[in-house]
Formats: sequence, C-alpha cells, structure tokens
Amino acid sequence: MSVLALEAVASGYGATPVLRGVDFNIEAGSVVALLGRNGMGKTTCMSTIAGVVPVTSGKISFNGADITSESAIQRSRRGIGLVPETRQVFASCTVREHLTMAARNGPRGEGRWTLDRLFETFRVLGDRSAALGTQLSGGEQQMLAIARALSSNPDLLLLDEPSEGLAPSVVLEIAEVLRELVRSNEHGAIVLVEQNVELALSVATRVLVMSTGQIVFDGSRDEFVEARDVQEKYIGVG
Amino acid sequence: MSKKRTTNDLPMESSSTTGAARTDGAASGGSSTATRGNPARRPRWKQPLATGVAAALLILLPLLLTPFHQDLATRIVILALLAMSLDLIYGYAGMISLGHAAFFGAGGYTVGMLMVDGGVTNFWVGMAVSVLVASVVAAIVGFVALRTRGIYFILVTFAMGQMIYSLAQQWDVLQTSGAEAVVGIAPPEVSPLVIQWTSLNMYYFTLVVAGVAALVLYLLVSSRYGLVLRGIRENQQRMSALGYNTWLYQYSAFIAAGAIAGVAGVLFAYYSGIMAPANVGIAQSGLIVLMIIIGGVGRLWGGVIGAVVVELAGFLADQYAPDHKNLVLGALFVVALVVLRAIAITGKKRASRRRSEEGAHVHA
Repeated sequence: MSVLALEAVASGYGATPVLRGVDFNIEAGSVVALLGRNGMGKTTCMSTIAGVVPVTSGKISFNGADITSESAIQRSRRGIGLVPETRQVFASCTVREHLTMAARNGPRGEGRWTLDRLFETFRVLGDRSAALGTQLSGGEQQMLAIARALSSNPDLLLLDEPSEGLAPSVVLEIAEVLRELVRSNEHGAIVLVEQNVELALSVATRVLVMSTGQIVFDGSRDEFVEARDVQEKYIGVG
Repeated sequence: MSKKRTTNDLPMESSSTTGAARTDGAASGGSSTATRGNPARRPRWKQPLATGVAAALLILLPLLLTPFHQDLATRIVILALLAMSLDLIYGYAGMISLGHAAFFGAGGYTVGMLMVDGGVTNFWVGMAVSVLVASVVAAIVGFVALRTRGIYFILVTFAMGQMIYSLAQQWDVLQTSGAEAVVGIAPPEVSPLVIQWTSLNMYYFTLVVAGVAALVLYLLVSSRYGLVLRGIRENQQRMSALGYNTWLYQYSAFIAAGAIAGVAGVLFAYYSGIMAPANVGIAQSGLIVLMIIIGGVGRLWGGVIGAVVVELAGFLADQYAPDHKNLVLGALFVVALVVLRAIAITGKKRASRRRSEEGAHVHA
C-alpha cells in the first residue's frame, strides 16, 4: 500500500521554482534515501511533503487522501513527521519537555513511541533528560530532533540530513539509531535525505536521486549501487 | 485495539512539565554532565524555601509599615500582577505588546463606571463584568494584532493601545463629574464578608485576589499549554510542523493575559478610587515591559521583582527628585537593558563553551 504519492509536484519559494514535476510513490514499511548534490531540491521536497513549503501544482496523497492543499499542521496530525536539517531544538526547553510537547497519538490512535521507549532507543537522551536544548552536543541535538518527531507517532518520518555537521564518531551513532528505527519500523515509512551516501545506503532499501528539482533515478539500493553513471553524474561519486 | 494514549499516560512526574523546567532537575535523575551548569537543576528545597520566604514577607511585612507605605505595597502587588499577565504573552508566547495597559484600563474603567454610574458595588459582579469586558477588548485587539508578526505586531498593539487611550481621554461616557477620568470609585462590598477598608485591609484584599489570579497564571504556564507556548516562542514554524495550531494558542494566551490584566485594573480602581487615561496609555504599557525586562522575561516571578524595583525607584524619585521621575525611570530602563544584555551575552558564551566541553567529553 502506498503511504505517500507525489504526482507532478512543483513548488518553490516565491517566484523561484525549485521542484519541477516530482513523481514518486513510497510504500508502507520502506526506507527510501533521497540523494543528490547540494541545491538540487531535496530539502525543498521534504518541506513540501511536510507542508512547510506550499505546492504550486501537482498532487500529494498520503495514506490515500489528497493532502495537497492541507497545512503543515493538518499534515502533521495525519502522521507526517519532519526532522529538519537545522534540527530546530528549543534552547529553553529540556529534553523531556521537547518530547512531552510533541507527544501525540498516531493517526490511528496508537502510541508506539512512549517516553520510556524513546529513552530506551535514545539512551543518551534518557541520561540527559533534564538538560536544556542548548546544553546538548550536535549529535545529541540530532537525536533529540529525531526523537521529538517520533514522539508524535508518525506514519511517515522525513529525515533531512541527519548526519550533517557531525563528527564521524557521532555519525556512527546516528547511523545506529537509524538502523534501530528501520528495524522497529512497524508499518510506517522513512524518507532519508543524506549527503553521506554510505550512511544512506546502509539503511535504505530504495534510492531516489534528485537533480534540478526532478527525480532522475528511482530504483532499489542494489540497482543504485550498479548504476555507476548515475552516481558519477548526479552524486559525484563512483 | 490499542489504548488511546494521553499525556497523562506518559511516564513523567506529572503533566505539569513547564514548571518542572526549572525544578525537575533534581527529580529526573540525569547524568553528572547534565547537572553541571543546568539552571533547570537546582536543589529541590530552594524553590519551596524561596516561595515560603516570599509569602511570609508579603503577609507579615505590611504589618510593620505605615498606611502610606501599605498603600505603596498594594500598588506594587497590583502592578506585579499586571506585569505577570504581560509575561504570559511576552515571556512565554514571545509576543511583545505595547498596548497591554489597555486591558488594565478596560477592567478598571468598567468596574468604575459600574460603580459610579450604575451603582453596582458588589465585588463579584463588578469583577466578573470587568474581566469579561477586558477579555473582549483583548480578543478584538488580539484578532487584529495576530494577523501580523514581529515589529508589526508591536506597532499594531501600540496603535490599538493608543486608540483606547484616546477613547478614554475624549469619550464623555468614560468621564465623570466633568473630570477627564472616572472618579469616586469606592472599595467594593465583598459579600458575605464585611471588610472595614483600611490601608492594611485593602492590601490583604488585593493580595488575595492577585494571588488567585497569579495562581491561575502559574497553572497555565506549568501545564502542557504553557509548554506549547514556549515552543511557539522558540520556533513557531516548528510547532506548526508538530501539529499545533500556533495562532490559536497565541490568541488564547493574548485573551487570557488581557483578562488577568483586567483583574489588575479592577484592583487598581478599588485601590486608587480613580481611573484616568494615563492608566491606559503607552507610558503605562512601557512601564510594564520595563518591569518584566528588569525582573526577568519568561518567569512569572520576574514580574514581581520588576514591579518592586520600578515602583520603589519611582517612589524614591518622587521623594527625592520629584521633577525628574521620568528621567530616573528612563535611566533605569537603559541601564537595565545594557546590563541584562551583557549578562545574556556572557551566559550564551558560557553555555556555548560548556556545550563544546561536554560534546568533547561525551564523544571522546
């Protein structure tokens, strides 16, 4: 069953178009890596799905419902959780408060991600539950941003550059957290935007490649690994 | 079928998490690195002790004062409540209003007119109607002001506050006995109590009513509602993306703050016996902002400290430099801003340094 479907979606900022007819489907239980060079529209794509950037044309469906004209608030309540590139951790709130603030039952009334389970998955957050957002290291802030999104029990988790700006040792921790999320991904889907291709391929089952606001490759992880020309042309590796 | 989960099901000490923000540290059992330098982690006994000392001072100190100084204490209590009400929208919801005195005036003028023109002396009726009027005025101002953000929000609240000030100055209905004010407001009948209105009794009456209103504010900011307001102050777009109708939260906070300001206005009318345009103008609104900046933004008791400092400064200026009161208050404002900004910068640097050290420690 398709969790998310984008049909010829275009969006941008003011008069500047960024996405130019994006099409893809995401099935339940899948983990999709959205790759591409900087400035190709990956973050805009995530923000458009989350409702932060408005759609100028095309259609977005989520769990079978047309959400194209819905606000970020409505989409969040439907079960779309975004972990933004900038983390956006609140300086004056403790770790516990971040998670309490965002806690909500999922779209079907279920509460898979309780505070206990979050602290079990993100042990460092449990240890630092009384620390303020600004007292956390970059890696801890990233984990908090992911945990905060999970505490609303989303059906679709959008992760935008979770390893950006982190030390290699911290990236390994984040990678382990992502693998844990993939293992525990009961019936939702995860879309991961990541510059670190190695990290992305270690968790994703499917790869989308974006270039100048369009999807230029859509295939399985193995197909992407084989597609050297795509890697060279659109990612800069290979 | 899975059980519907509520906030109360979350494994926390209580759902009152915001209040815990500054106190839950000792109860939550964090690591040593979390304890170090975290303002949230203060010894458990400190807050009850401070509250107890403050309560004892508020109750006992006026017994030692002259009626003149008891009146000053009453005024401070009223303005502290007013400052706390502004802190709900400024300190917690991140909206700086320069028209907050309008709601104070709406409450005070309403109870004054009810008493002087309508002969309504009953406290409960006067308070209920006045708070309702203040809430309606806040709902109207907030509805317009919340269509804007940032500096435009400040300017709209300023403009609407000035409109209400002009109304108080020019509308005959809001003036009695040919004066440009509502005069002759008497202390109320607080049935079933029979109160002999001395300065001391007026102080205790004001303290009780303001205390109840302050408790309401405390419960609001200590609840999940208050936590969401703080989240909105930090990042409104993120809170929308988390599924919160941020406009509704801000609007309801604006009305609640207006209602509490209305309570302060009613108390002020009873205390002073007069409501004048100066009580609702920009100067009054500016003083309230000054109070919470001096006392500390985003913590209710900051409004109390600010009211004490500003009113005592005003009182001393009245005593020793009556012609230069505004100069003294202006200088206080400038000094407070410069000093507090310096403290904030130092604090940020310290936090940044600590974060780097902790990051290095954690990932070493």
